[in-house]
Formats: sequence, C-alpha cells, structure tokens
Amino acid sequence: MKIRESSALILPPYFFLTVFFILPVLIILILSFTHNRDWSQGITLKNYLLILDPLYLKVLIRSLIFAVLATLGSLLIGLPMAYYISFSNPKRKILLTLLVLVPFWTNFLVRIFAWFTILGRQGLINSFLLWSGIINEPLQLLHTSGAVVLGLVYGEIPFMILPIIAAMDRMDISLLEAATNLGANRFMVFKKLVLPLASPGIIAGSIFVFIPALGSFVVPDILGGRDSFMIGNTIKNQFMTVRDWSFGSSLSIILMVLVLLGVSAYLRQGRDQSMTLGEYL
Amino acid sequence: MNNLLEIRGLTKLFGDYAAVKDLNLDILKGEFFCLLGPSGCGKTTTLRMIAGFDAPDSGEIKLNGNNLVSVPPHKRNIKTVFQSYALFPHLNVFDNIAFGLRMSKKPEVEISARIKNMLETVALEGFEKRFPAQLSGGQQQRVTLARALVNQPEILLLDEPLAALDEKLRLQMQVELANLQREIGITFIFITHNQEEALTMADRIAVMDEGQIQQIGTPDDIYLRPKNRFVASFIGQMNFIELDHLEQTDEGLLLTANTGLQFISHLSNPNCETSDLCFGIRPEQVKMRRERPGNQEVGFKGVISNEVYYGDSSIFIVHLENDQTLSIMHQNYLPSGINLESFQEGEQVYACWNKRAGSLLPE
Amino acid sequence: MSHRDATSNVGFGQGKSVSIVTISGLVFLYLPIFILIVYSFNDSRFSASWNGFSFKWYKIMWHDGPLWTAIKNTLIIATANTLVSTFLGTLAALALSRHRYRFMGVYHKILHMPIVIPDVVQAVSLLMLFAFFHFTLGLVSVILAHASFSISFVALVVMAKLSNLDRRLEEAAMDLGANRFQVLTQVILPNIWPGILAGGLLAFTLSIDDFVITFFTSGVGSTTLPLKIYSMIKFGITPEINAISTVLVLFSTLAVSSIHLFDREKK
Repeated sequence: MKIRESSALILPPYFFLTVFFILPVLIILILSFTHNRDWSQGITLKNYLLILDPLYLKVLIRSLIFAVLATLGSLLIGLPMAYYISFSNPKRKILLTLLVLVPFWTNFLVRIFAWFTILGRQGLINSFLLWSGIINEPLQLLHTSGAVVLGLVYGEIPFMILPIIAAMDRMDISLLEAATNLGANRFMVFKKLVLPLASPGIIAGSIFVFIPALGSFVVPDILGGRDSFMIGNTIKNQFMTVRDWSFGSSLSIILMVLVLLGVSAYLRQGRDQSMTLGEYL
Repeated sequence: MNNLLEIRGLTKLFGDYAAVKDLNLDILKGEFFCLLGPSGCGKTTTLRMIAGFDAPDSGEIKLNGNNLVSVPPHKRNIKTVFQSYALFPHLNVFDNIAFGLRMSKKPEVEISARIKNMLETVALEGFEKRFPAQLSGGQQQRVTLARALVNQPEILLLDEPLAALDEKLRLQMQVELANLQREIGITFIFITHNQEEALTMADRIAVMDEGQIQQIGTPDDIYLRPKNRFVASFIGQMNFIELDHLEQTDEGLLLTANTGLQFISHLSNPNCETSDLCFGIRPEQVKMRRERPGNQEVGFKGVISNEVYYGDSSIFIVHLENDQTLSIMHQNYLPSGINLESFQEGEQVYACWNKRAGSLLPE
Repeated sequence: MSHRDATSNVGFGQGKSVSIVTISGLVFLYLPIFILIVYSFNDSRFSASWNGFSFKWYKIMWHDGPLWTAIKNTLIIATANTLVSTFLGTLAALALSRHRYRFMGVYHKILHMPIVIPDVVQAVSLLMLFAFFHFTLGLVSVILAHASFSISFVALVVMAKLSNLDRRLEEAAMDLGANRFQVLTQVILPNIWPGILAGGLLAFTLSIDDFVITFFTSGVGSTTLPLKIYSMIKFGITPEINAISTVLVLFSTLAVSSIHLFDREKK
C-alpha cells in the first residue's frame, strides 16, 4: 500500500538516474565486449585480455601504487592535523576547520596548477636551489611521478582530515583522561586510545582518498609526464585520441570494479559510514 | 598529623569566574572523605586539579608533603573513577583493568594475578573477556573501580560514580563501596551532590558552595551542627525562622523573628550580627500536640494545611500565627505496628520543640 | 564531551610533534596558493622575476571575452543543475528515509554509486550515452551530466538532515490530524530546508568545479570556466591564470566563511 502512496517521490529521481547513470554504465559494459563498436562481429573478451599487455598492466599497477602512496601520505599529514584540530579550543578549532575547508571548496584545477609555482622550472624550489648555487640547471620536478603523488595528496587531503575530525569529535575526552590517569603518556594515549577509537574515521578517510586518487585523470594530466600517467589518462586517450571505445570501456569497467571492491570491503567492516557521508560534506 | 593530602590556597579561574577560591583541605590517610555540594560548586574542578587534568591558578596540592602541581597527571599515583565510567570501549574487561599496569610495565604474570584478585574483590570473576558494552551499569561501575584500584593508588578519586545508577542499585553500591574502602584501606575522595550518599558512606564530609568549603566534619557534625544556612539547607530538611533580634535574658536567649514570633532558646549566643541570623530546626525536632507544650518546650498554635504521606511517617505543613510556616515530621506507626495519634488537615495543633533544639545559623 | 573546551592541563593533541605536523600541513596546503596570489600581482610575464606590483593581469582578465563567455556558461549550467538536482535529490531523500520499498538496499546502492565511481568512468559512459542516441553535445548535455552525479550528493545531505529530525514531530502532526502531504509541507520541509539549501549549494559548487565530466560531455559553445582554465594550463600558461585563480580562491574563502557565519547564526 505504501509503495503506491509514495511512488510520486521515488519515480522522478530514479527515472533520471536510470537514464543518466545506469543506462550509460550498461552501454559501456556492452561496448566493452564488442570489437570496437562493430556489433556484427559478436562478443569478445579481447578488450579485457588486452589489460594483460605489459604496457597497460604497468599503468594499472602504477595507478594502484600512486593511490596507495597518496592515501598513506594524506594519512601521515592528515591524522596529526585532525588530532590537533579536534582537540583545539573552540575558537581555534573553527578557524582551522575553515582553513581545511577553503581548499576543499576551491577549484581543483587551480589548486593543482598552483604547484607549478613551486615545482616549475622557474618555481620556488628551483629558484632557491639556483640562487644558492646548489645546482646550475633547473631540476625536472614537474611532470614526474613524485609530482603526481604530491598533487594527489594535495588534492584529496581534506577528504582524509574531515572524517577523522568527525570521528575524534565523537570521542569522549574522559576516556583519554582515564588513560592518562592510569599512567599513559601522550604517545601511549594516542597509540592505545586515539588511534583505535578514531579508526572508523581513518578508514572512511582512506577510502575517500583512495577512490578518487585511483581514478584520477586531472592530476597526472597536469602534473605528470609520460612515465607517470595513470589509468584515467589511458581511458581518456582511448576515447578521445585512439578512439578504441571498446577498450576504453573495458578499462572503465575494470576501474569501476576495483573501486566497488574497495568500497564493499570497507562496508563489510560492519559500519555503514556511507550513510554519514552527507554529514562530512 | 597524619595528613596524606594537603591542599593550601587552591584557586582555579575560568575567565573571570573563580570555580575554586582559596581552598584549604587536609585529607587523612585511610579515610573515606566526601566532597559534597550542588552542581557548579567547584567540587569537580577540585577533583580534576587533584588528578592533574586541570592546572590550578594558584595554591598547592601536597601528597605526603610533596607538591603535586607540577607533576603531570600520568605520573601521579592517584587514580580516578569517572562519572561516565570512561571504560575503553575497544578493550575487554581484562584489558581495561590491565591498562594502568601495562603502562607501568608490570610483568604479564603479575598483571594476571592482580587482576584475578581484583575481579574477586569486585565480584566479577568470569567477566574478563566481556566488552564494556556487554555489561550492565552496575558491572561497568565495578570494572571502573577495579581498573583504578588494581594500581594500588594512594588516593582513589570518585567523581559522582553512582549518579547514573538506579535507586536500588545505588543503595547497594553505597554499602559495597563503604565496605570495600574499609577492607582495602585506600583513601577515598568521593564527590557527590547527593547528601544521602555522603552521610551514609563518608568518615568526613566537606560541604562546598561557590568554590569554597562551607563546613568540614563528620556526618553527625554536619547534620546536627550545621555552621551556616547553606549547610543546613543543603543537608536534610530544615525550617528557617528569620530573626529580627535576640536578647540575653535570665531564662535564656529571647529570639524575636521578623514575623513577630518570640521564643526562648537555650542555645549559646553566637555573638554575631543578628540581621542575617536565623533559627533553624529540623522537621523531626518539632512535635505536634493537641495539648499545651511542656516546661522545657517552646510551642505555638497553628493550623495543619497539608499532609505529605510517606508511609511510616508524614510531613505536616503547619501555618503558625504571624504567617510562619513549619514542616513537622510525624511518626505514623511504632515499630510494633501500633498506630500512633493521627492528625487531620485543617486541625488546630501546637507545634513544639525543646528549648535546646535547633541551631542559630549565620548567612 | 566534558571539559573538551576547558583549560585542560593535559592538552590532548596539542603536543609538540602534533603541532609541528599541523603547522607544516597548513603550510603545505597554503604555500602554493599564497605564491600564486603573489605572482598574480607581478608585472613580469615570467614568474621567476619580480618586476613590480601591478594589476596588469587582472585588467587582461577583465577584458578577456572568451573567459566571460565561459563564466556565463558555467553559471547557466550550475544554476540549472542546482534546480534539477536539488528537486530530484530531495525527492529521493524523502522517499528513502520516510518510506519503505521493496529492494530498499538497491535504491540506496544506486544512490551512492555516482559518488564512489571515478568521474572519468562516469564521464566516458555519459559520452557513450549521448553518442548512442546522437544527442548533440552542448549546454543541455552538460547540465544532464552534472545532475546525474549531483542528485546523489543532494540526497545524502538531505538524508543526513532528515535522520536528525525527530520522528515524533511527524507522528505528533498526524496525531493532530495532518495528512501525509500536510506533514511534508508543514513539518518536514520547514525543518529540513537548511539541509536542502546546503545540498543545493553543494550541487552548485560541484557544478562550478567540475572539469572531468564537463570535458567529455560539452560541445561547441559550452566551454565552462574549468575547461577554459585547463586549456590555458595545457596550451600556453600566462600569469592571467594566476589572477583568475586568485579571484576563485577569494570566492571560495568568502563562500566558506559566509556559510560558517550563516551556520552560527542559526545556532
């Protein structure tokens, strides 16, 4: 009975999502099994086998490594920052949270481009090294793997910090006081209490960084070079340059499956943090 | 003499507001000491300074003669039982209790032995593998106690530990806590806003208000000889008769209330400003009679306006002449079950008390 | 949460090493942006040399016709997307948090997918959709593409708000004789409108910021600001980008601060 009553609510959004989300995904799923759009030749698995080509396999593995490094990098900086911010006095906490949010709301391309001013041939680092006489020729810092990982960390770190702050804010401070009272020093309080209790936020943050990092296309496109392209760049090339839409589709499906595997592994942790995603935004 | 903890001139400011003002306190080794006061009186802040969570703005806290103020909290041999229990949700009972021992790097064999002992003491054998969320409120309470006590602290601080328990469990825990303290002999500093908890458990009580100690004494002292109006009103029930002036006569002190009521009291003259003085008398010290009062008694005619029935006893609200109202406790039965004299609302009675009863209380 | 804001003696999270990492982290976040802003006032074409303070690049930006066209397109797309996705997202949120359906889990999963799936995958699949149906790429295709992921964000924000709304309010309203529609308009919507507003704002921002999906679904005459910035970065960097970036950073700072102030006003 209720189903009929509220179909007015559920039909419009899900009709839209079916046409503009599910259908497109189905189209590339089908495309990925064709001989480059030639329906007459029947279905094939060759687009999936092509990923085993060392050329593409390398890109896929590189993407995974970059994503892992970006996640670790964000965690390394983001976890202490979140700890500091969460336990700051209210005034400072608001200020610092805003400081983390401003990049979050600033145009992504602009933020990535900003690294040209630091890493470029005329950027801050090269200017300094040349000026101080340590080097005679500017170093190649842009268009390297290091620049890509740095850019990924830079782009995604707010997604790490914000969920961890949220998790730490839920922590009862008397637990930390109890630990102190029982003889734990700062480091032990962090290791034995803060870390395990903030783990839902840490896991959420890691997922929120890993997923966009893995599928990133803008960062390697702008900061990367030929040796640091990721799977996102390959997908773009297949559709825009090479025009092998079927192979592009199979790469897209593979990337999607990898991401969904990661997400479901996270959801199997038993906590449906995705429901609270809205609160982080 | 045998002071374990000495607090001198302790002050804590939150902005302009002094949560604790120039507080002095001595706590004896092995006693069950209660800090009693309404919420916001500074008792929790005092406790947090003793534990080291808050730093005092001035003053000293000495344990065995050594100033603690600069000692970080994790190096003080003072353990706390938190109001919210603060059990670590990700650790089971055993690991919760072992936390402090592991921090001080005790060998695991010793830890196991001590925890086994401790669990026996708090009657929680077999609960080692349970997690806090799987325990009842009373059990969590015991784990918190065990977690603190297993470290053999010099002082155990208890911050309103019974507040979250229901009435029945609270009474039971009061008895258990008092027995436990006597058994292990560790000094307890117990914080509460519940006067009944303080009276039933403590060896000594300090009543606090507005950041200062109003009175320190045994439960008896506090109940029977309150020093001022705050203590008298905070502990138990008390009838207050505001005094206009008092005069020494041959018969004793002649007290004149600002309602015009006049009566003799055999209390000693407090020799202070009469303007903020009042006469306090507890409901159980006042008797209701149908006949005139005796020689040693003061008595006033009045009308019963309400009866509040408690079963074994009732509180009667009696309006005296001159607009004075008194609460009077009346025993309804004798222990043998025989009904005592009963009174009706609207009835005219005499409210009487012994001339030696009551107390003269400054502001 | 007792005493988190008190002058605690212990100062959790405020130790030396944590403070140092925090300060370094903030430097990391802001140094590139800061230098970008400084260079935007540099008279020189080359960032390495400082030729004196100048508004030159802002003037060039002001007279950059294609840039303004891109901004206009961006705003048209963002506004249309906000209207569409706020409406549809709110409906989805209301449906999923206040009603029961068969396959409830499937509905939830579908809603979350556009958020977790990499934008590049979504972009190429939308491109294929439009190609398949011979739909001309332009403003409309970009708006539809933006709405396809914005709906989910709006719905999640509104759902978060709805889950904090006391169910008993609705029961009380029904108890007092309100029908379902009246409960919606008299009780639910007045209480969740900040969530709807926040969702709409998020949709607007996502739309303005989006590069990847726009890149694949836009056609002739629907260049947006991010596309314009991208082509400037890729094909000829001039300090004009620094000026544009500075203005964008200024806007996001203003937006974040005013949202914060608005939030506090509410409390």
